[in-house]
Amino acid sequence: MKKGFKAMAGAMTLTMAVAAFAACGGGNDKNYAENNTQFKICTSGPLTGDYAKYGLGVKNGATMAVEEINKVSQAELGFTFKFDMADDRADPTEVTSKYTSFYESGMQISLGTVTSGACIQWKADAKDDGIFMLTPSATSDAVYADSDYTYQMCFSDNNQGTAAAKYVKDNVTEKTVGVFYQTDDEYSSGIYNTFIAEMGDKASAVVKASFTKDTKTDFSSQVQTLKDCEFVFMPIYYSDASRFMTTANLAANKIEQYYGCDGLDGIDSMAGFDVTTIPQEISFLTHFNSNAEGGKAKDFVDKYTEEFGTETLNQFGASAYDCVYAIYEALKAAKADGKEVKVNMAPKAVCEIMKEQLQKITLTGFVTGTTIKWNKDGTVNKPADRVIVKGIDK
Amino acid sequence: MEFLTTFINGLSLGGVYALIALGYTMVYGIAKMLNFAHGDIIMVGGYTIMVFFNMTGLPLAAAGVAVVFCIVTGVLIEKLAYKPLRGASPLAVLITAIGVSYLLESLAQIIFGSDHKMVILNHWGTLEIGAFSVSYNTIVTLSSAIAIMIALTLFVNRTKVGKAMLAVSEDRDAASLMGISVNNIITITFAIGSALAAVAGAFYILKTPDVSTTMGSMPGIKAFTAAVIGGIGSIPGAMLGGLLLGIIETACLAVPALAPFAIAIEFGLLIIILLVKPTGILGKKKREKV
Repeated sequence: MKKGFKAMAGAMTLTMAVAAFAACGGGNDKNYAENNTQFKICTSGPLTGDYAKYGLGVKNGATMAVEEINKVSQAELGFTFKFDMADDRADPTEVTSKYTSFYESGMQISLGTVTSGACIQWKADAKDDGIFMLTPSATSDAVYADSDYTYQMCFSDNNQGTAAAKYVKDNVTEKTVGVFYQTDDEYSSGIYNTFIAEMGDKASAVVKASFTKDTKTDFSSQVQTLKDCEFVFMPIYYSDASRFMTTANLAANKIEQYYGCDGLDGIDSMAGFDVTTIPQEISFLTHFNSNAEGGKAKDFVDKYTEEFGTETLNQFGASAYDCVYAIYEALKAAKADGKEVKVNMAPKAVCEIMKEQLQKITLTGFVTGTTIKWNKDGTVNKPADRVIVKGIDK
Repeated sequence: MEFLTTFINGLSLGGVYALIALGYTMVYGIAKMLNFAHGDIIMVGGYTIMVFFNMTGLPLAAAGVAVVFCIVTGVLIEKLAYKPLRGASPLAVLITAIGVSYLLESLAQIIFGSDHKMVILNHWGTLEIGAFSVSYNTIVTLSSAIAIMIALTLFVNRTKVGKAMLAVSEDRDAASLMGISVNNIITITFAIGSALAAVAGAFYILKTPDVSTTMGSMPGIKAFTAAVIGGIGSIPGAMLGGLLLGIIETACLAVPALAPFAIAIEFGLLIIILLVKPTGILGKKKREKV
C-alpha cells in the first residue's frame, strides 16, 4: 500500500512539473485581454523607498493623462483607458511578479518601469509575450538595445552623455572640468563613459573623482580631488549630489558650476536641503522645464500642482503624461491608417501596430518636447534644455 | 600639502570607524559574541539626533540625547535578546544579533519612512594654512575621537569597573569567583559600546549629512573589519584598525584610478593581515590546554 502511494505521489509530482515547464516555456498565445472593457496600460515603479518621488510622479502624470483622454477617447477610438501601477521599490527582483500579474489581468501596453535596472528585467519578462513598452524614465542603453518593442520617452544614458559633452565642449572652454560619478551605478557610469568618449582629446584634461555605494560615508577626498575645477559635471542622483555639495561647502574650492543630468531633477525640493546654501550654480540637462512660462509644459505644471502639489512634480511625471498621450496619438494614427486597435486586442497585435506607428509619427506641442520622434532603435529624438535650478552667488 | 589634507581626512574617518570598532571589540572581548546589530545603533543615534536637532536646533544637546537613547536601546537589546541566550551556542546568538539588526532597521523604516533625510548639523568653516586646508568639522571629529579613545583606555585600565571588565574578558568563571557580577559587567559593556556608536553616528552626520535606515550597515561592516584587523577583543587594536582603515579608504578615494577599488583594497588588506597574523595586528594568541 505504501509503495503504491509513493508511486502515485511520484507520478503526480512528475505531471505537475511537466505542466509547470510547459506553462513557462516560450510564452503562450492566450489573449488575456479578450474580456477587457477598457484598454489597459500598466507599469511598475518605486512608490515607496528611496526613489518614491520618481514613481509617484509617474503614477500621477499617467493618471492625469488617462483621465483627460478618457473624456474624448470613446468618440475617437471607441474605448476608454485604464491605467494600473504596482510598487517595485526600484528593485529588479520584484518586477517579474508584478509583470506577470499585470499580463494575466489583460495588460495590452506598458510604460515599462520607472527605473533602469527594473526596466531591464521587465523587458526580459515581456519579450515572449510581445508587450509593447514606452518607458517614461528608464534611461539605460540596455533598455532599448537589441529589441524592437522597447521605446523611451526620456533621453537614453548615451544621449545624455553625448549632450553633456557637447555642452561642455561648446560652453566650458576656459574652465577646468571635473566629473564626479558612481562607478557601480549603471545610470551614472553609463553617462560617464559616453561623456568621456565624446570629449575626445579633451577627456584627458577632465579631472575624475568617483564613489561606490559602499564609499558614501565621506566625500572629503573627492572634494579634495575636484577642488581646483571650476566646472563639475555630476551624472548622479540628487541625494548624493546634495551631499557632495554640502561637503564641498566645508572645504576651500574653486567650483563655480555644478551640472548634471536628469538625476539632479528634484534637488530643489529635497527635505532638509536648501539649494540656496550652495554658492555655486546648479543646472541640469532635461526634457522638461518645471519653470516654463508658457506652452504645454506650463499647463501641465499648473494642473499637476493643483491636483498633487509640488513635492512630486518632476520630469518623470511629465514624461509619463507624454507617454500616455503618445500611445493615444499612435492609436489614433493607426485607426486613420485603417489598422484600428480594438479594446480587447491581444498585446502582440497591439505591439506590431505601435512599432509601426512610432516609426512614422512626429508629435508636436508635448510637455517634454516641442517635437518628438523616435529613432529606429527606440531612442527618442527631441530637443534638450538646460534648466538652471539656482544661479551662482555673486 | 594635499597628502597632509588627505591624511587628516583619513584619520578623521578612521576615528569614526575606530569608535564603532571599539563597540564590536569590547562586546566580543567580554560577552564573547559578535553583535551584528551594533551598526544599527549608529542608525538609532542618527535618527535621534535628527529628531532632536530639528526640534531644538542644538547639535550638542541632540548628540547628548542620542547617547542616552542609544545606551537605553543597547541595554534593552542586551537584556531582552542576548541575556536569555547566555548559555546558548554562538551560532544562535549570532543569528539573534542579525535578527535584531533587521528589526531595528524595519522599525526605523516604519517610523521615519525609507527616504534619506538630510541633517546639516553645523558648518564651522575651513582651516587654511597656505595650501593646506581642512574643515573644522574634520578637526572636531578627529580630536573628539582621540579624546574619547584616551578616556576609554584610562577607564578600562584605571577604574574598578574597567579592571573588572578586563577580568571578565580574561576568565569569566574566575572573575565570577572573585565576586564580579558578570551580568552587570556585560550590561555596562553594552552601554559603553552603544554610547560610542551614538557618538560615531553624530560624527558620521558631521561628515555626510545623511540619515537613512541603512546608514549604519556599511560603516558597521568596515568597523568590524577594523576590529578584526586590529585583533578582535583588543581595545588598542580596534583603534589602530579603525584609523588604518580610514586612512587607506581616504587615500584610495583621493587617487581617481584607485577609487573604484577602495573597498576591494580595504578587504584585501584584511585577508593579507589575517594570512600573516591570524589574530590581527595586536591580537593575542591563546594557548589551549589539551
